[in-house]
Order: sequence, then structure tokens, then C-alpha cells
Amino acid sequence: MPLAVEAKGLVKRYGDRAVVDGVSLAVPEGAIYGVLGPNGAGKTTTLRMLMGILEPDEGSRTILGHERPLEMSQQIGYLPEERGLYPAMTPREAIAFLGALRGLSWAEGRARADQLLAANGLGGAARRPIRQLSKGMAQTVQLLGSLVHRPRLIVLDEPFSGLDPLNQSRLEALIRAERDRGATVLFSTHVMGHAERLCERLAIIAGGRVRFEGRVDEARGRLAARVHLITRASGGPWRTALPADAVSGVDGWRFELPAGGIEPLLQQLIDGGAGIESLSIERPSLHDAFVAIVGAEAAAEEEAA
Amino acid sequence: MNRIVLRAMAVLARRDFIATVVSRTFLLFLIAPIFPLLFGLVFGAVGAKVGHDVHASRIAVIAPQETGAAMVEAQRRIADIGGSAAGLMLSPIPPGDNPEAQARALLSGKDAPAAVLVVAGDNARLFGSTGSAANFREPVAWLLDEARRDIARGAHHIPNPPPRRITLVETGISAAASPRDLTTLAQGAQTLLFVLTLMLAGVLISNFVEEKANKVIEVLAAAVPVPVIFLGKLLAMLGSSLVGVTVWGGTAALGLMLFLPAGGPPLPVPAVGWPLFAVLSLLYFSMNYLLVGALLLGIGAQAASIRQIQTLSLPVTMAQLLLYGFAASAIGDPDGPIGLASALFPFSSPLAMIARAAALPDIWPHLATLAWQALWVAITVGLMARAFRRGVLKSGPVRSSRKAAAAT
Repeated sequence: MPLAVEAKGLVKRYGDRAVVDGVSLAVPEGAIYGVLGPNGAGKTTTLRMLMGILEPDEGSRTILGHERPLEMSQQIGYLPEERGLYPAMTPREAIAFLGALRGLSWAEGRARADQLLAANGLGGAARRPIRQLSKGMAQTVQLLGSLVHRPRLIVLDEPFSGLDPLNQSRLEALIRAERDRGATVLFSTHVMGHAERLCERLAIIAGGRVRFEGRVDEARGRLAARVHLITRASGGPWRTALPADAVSGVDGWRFELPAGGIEPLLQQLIDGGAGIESLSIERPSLHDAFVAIVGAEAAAEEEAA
Repeated sequence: MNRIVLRAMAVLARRDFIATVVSRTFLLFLIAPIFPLLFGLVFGAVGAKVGHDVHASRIAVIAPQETGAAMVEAQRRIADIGGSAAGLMLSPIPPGDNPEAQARALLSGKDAPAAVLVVAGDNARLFGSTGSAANFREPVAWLLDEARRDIARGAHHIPNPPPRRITLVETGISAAASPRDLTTLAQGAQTLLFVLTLMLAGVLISNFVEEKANKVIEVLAAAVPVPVIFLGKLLAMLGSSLVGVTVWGGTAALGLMLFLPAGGPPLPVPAVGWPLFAVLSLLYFSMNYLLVGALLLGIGAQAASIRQIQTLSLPVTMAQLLLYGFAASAIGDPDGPIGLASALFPFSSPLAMIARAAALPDIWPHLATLAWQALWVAITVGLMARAFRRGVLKSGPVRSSRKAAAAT
């Protein structure tokens, strides 16, 4: 499959510190691709290098087949992490301005702005100065500004931050709609839920390096499924059947799904008189995979954030 | 630059131009200099009336004694009424054997009159330098009419009344302007250019504050190369400044027409002639604005706060004064070492060259230096954009595709 974005060994140093240290990504055309990582992992710096805002100290990138991203500016939409709009402009003018910067005519930009604003519940605010809008509304305006020219590649840096749950759902729908239109969507986040629901592929970055690159199910597949067992009997011969990593808690036993599957274990527990009250197999979430991949330390940082 | 980039630059320039011009503060910006200008004109008009004998334009009249006397009397009579003829001071001179040669000698001599009227029989010719002589045609014709009426009323007994038609004889560019006049003109033009640039380009030092404060800069930098952002901003502010200059210039012209109908003391004609001098003034103002503006924009873009910008303003103004001093020191000798150096040094070049346009008639140095200055605008914008990428965006230089491939 052709790649919309291909990065090879990107390095960015500030002083002696490598903020991004050899990041390689391959984003297939038409995919929704997530860049996940804890705060300070190097996600934004990576995206800025992909957009040509920053030049990498080492490595190379190809965006829609071009080595210089600005050459493809008209086919790229970008929402930066630090949102920025001219506060005196109206949403309609701001969207048309962002479209004009990417090659759209002003008239077409205004017409599409009207459509986009109406479709996203901002029709009534189209001609009010942005300074009078709420933060979430302004953020939506900027997002629409990055989509108005119908780009082939949409790069969104932390697009969900600052949005209420309703607008987050709306944004998820918008991202899917853009993918269905044929666009490639690349977005960064440190919220696993969005990535899990949206992404076909993802990269997990921590400490400036890619720790994982692949499909969501592959990331989850890095961890074994876990078994949660609740028995009526507290002791008996069935206990010897439990795996060595089984841990008892107030709500029963937890352990990794044995390599041989659940059936042999289930038979031994029944034969040993465990009196099974409930047994469930819990597939690891992306969050679990993320924690395992990035490490407990990074997970703690994420929790704190 | 390709069409797409040029279009993006136009989009940025349009945004900045509209944001600047369509605002209440711009109205204040436009009005502010008009009041001192109007007051100056009003008081100037009063002063001109009080002391018009001192400052009036001197016209030598080579004519028979009676005709000259009739014109002088007519001029005195209408002086109090006002109008274009009120600002003239007539000096009757008896005609010699060759009045035309006499007129030309007067115009090229020391303390030359603004124009010379030669009346011989039914022939009246007004001699003066190209561009300047025509200004006196109408008031002199008025005086001749008045003198003729006086003669018709019997106030003077002259067998041949002065003629009705005046033939204009232009004696060449700046023939009437002495070297001292041209030096004064050069100083005036240079000072005006400097003051306008100082007043108008100064705002560029804080021009990036809005984008940095609003975080818009990242959106712009992701869509357009940084040098294009710089050029867009520069052109927008140049456009706003030209609006200001046009409004002020128009107001000044209107004020002159209202308060000084005689036009005040005549200006010496610049060596290259008024039309070309006006065009060169516009071009040199634009170049000076773009050169100084690119520097100010770049320096201001590096500043992290308004406080830093305020602190930077004084050294920046001092540097501009130094450049002005450098260019001004070459006025007397534009082809000397300092003159050439100030014309070649890009940041003093527009100031030096406008002074040269006032004093010397050759055109090609202007074409060459305009191209040179345009090149330096591009170089300065490029350097400032690179500094911005490094210092503010924390990016490295844009690498060529070959280098990037080799590094991988």
C-alpha cells in the first residue's frame, strides 16, 4: 500500500538532549494512524518535523511523496497542539483564511466555511469575532480550518484535548468521515480510548523513540489475556491446578491465560472441586499494552498529567 | 517563487493589510500627523502673507520702463487681494540689445530670479527652467492683463500696450536651481524619506507579537515558508504606510491650495526633473521601508516579550540615525568615496540615492542601485527568516534533499 507519510530515523536535538531520537513511521494512505505517547515523549516535535516546521537534525521524511512538506502544503491540513487564531476574525473569515493559505479561493473558502460551521453546530457563531467564542468552539473552528481545503493528509496534534465528551465524539465522527472521503488522518494523543476506537495502525513513542509500531490488535497482542476466577471453595486440590502467577484478591483469582488454553485448566478446576462461581477471560486493553510498552514510569507521568 | 507561494504571500499580506487599515487605531494613525500639518500650513500662510516681500518669488521683467512700471503698480494693487500673483516680486530691468541672451544670463547667474519675463513689442516670453517656469505663467499673465486695463483707463501713457499671449521658453532642467538650492532639496528629500521610514517602519519591530501571542505562527509556518511570511507582512505594512503617505500628501497638497494659493516659494527643480524625482522618491521610500522593515521585523521576531521590544527600540532608532548621518554626509559629494560607499551600503543606499537624484541628472545609477537594494531586501528577509527558524521555531536550516538523503 502506498504511504502517505514515511519517516526514517528522525532525530531532533535541543542542546545535548535528543528530544526525538531515531523515529521511523510508515503511515499508509487512507488510514487513521495514531501517534501515542506520554507527555514529553516527542510526539509534537515529530509531527512538527513531518510538517516542515522543524528541520530534523538527522533522518528524512516523505510526505505524499515529497521530501519537502511545504511543497505539498495545499494537500495537507494541520491542527497544531498550540491552537492559534486571530481573535478579531470571525470563524467564517478564519476558516476561509486558513483555506486561502492552502490554495483555496476566498469565495470557495467562505462557502465551505458556512457549510462546515452549520454542520458542526456553529452556524450561529459564524460572524461573531473569535474572541467571543468559548475555547472549545474556537478549537472546532481551527479544526474546520484545517479541513476546509479537503486535504489528502490531515495531521492533528492532540485534537481531543480541551473538548468536552460531546465534542470529542463529534470529532471522532469527523475523523472517520474524512477517512471515508479518502483522506489519511495522522493524529497524536495520550488518551488511549480515542486511539483504540479510531486507529487502524499506531506508533507508541516514549523518550523520543518508537517503542511500538503496528496495528492496535498487535499492540494488545503483546500482552497475554488474563483470567479472572471466582470460586465457592477456598481450599482444596484444585489450588494445585492454578498457574504459578495466580494472585488472590478480595474478588477472586487473577492470572495470565495459560499457554495451553483455558479448557485443560477448567477441567482440572472442576475435577478438583473448586466450585466455579465465575470465570472470565479479559483481553488486554490498549491502555494495558501502552503501560507495558512504555513502562510504569511513563504511565505514572501520564496519570499525573 | 512559484505561483502558489506568491498567492500565499498575497493572502498573508491581505490579512495584515486589512487588520491594520480597517481599524479605529489606523484612523487615529492617519489623523495624528494631519493636525500638525494643518497648523503648520495655517501659520505658514499667515507668515507668508506677513513676509511675502521677503519670500516672494522674484520675477525679472525685461521690458520698456513704462510697461515694467505698470506691471509693478498692478502687482502692488492686487497684492492685498491675494491670489497667485500676490506671491510675486517683480524686478523691472531695462532691455539690452539682446533681451533673450539677457534673460538667459540672469537665469544662470548668481541669485537668479525664478523666471524672467521679456516684453518686446507685441511679444511676451517667459523664460525659466523646465517644469518651474510654467508655474508663473498664469500669475504673470494676470499682471499683464491688469497693466493693460490700467493703460486702457489712461493710468499710463504707453503707445503699445503689453501683449495678451505669453510664450513659455523653458531653458532646461534645473537651470534655475543653484547648487545650493539642489543641496537644500537633496537634504529635504533625504530627511523626509528618513523621517517617514522612522515613523512608519518602526511598527514592524512589534509586528510578530500578535502571531506569537495568538500561537498563529505555527499554523502559518506549516502552510507557508517563513521568508514568505516575512515578505507578506512587510508588503502589508508597506501598503498601509503608503496609504498613510498618500493621505498626508493629499492633505498637504489640499492645504497648500487652500492656504497658500500662490504655492509658496518655488522649489528648485531636481536634477532628474520632478516627474522622475517623484517616481524615484516612491521607489526609494519603498526600498528603504523594506530594508529597514525586514531588519526590524527580524529583530522584533526574536524578542520574547513587549518589554524586550521596547528595550530594543532605542538602539534600533540610534542605528537608523547613524545610517541617516552616513548618507547625509555624502550630499555635497555624491561621487566621492563617502557618497559611493553610502550608495553601495544597502541600508543607507536609498537615502543616499534620493539625494543624488536631486543633485545629478544621470539615470542609470538609480536603476542599478534599485536592483541592488531589491537584492538586499531578499537577502535580509532570508537571513531574518533563518534566524527566526533557529531562534524562535527552534528549527535547523532547511536541508537540501540531497543532504537529507545522504544523512539517512
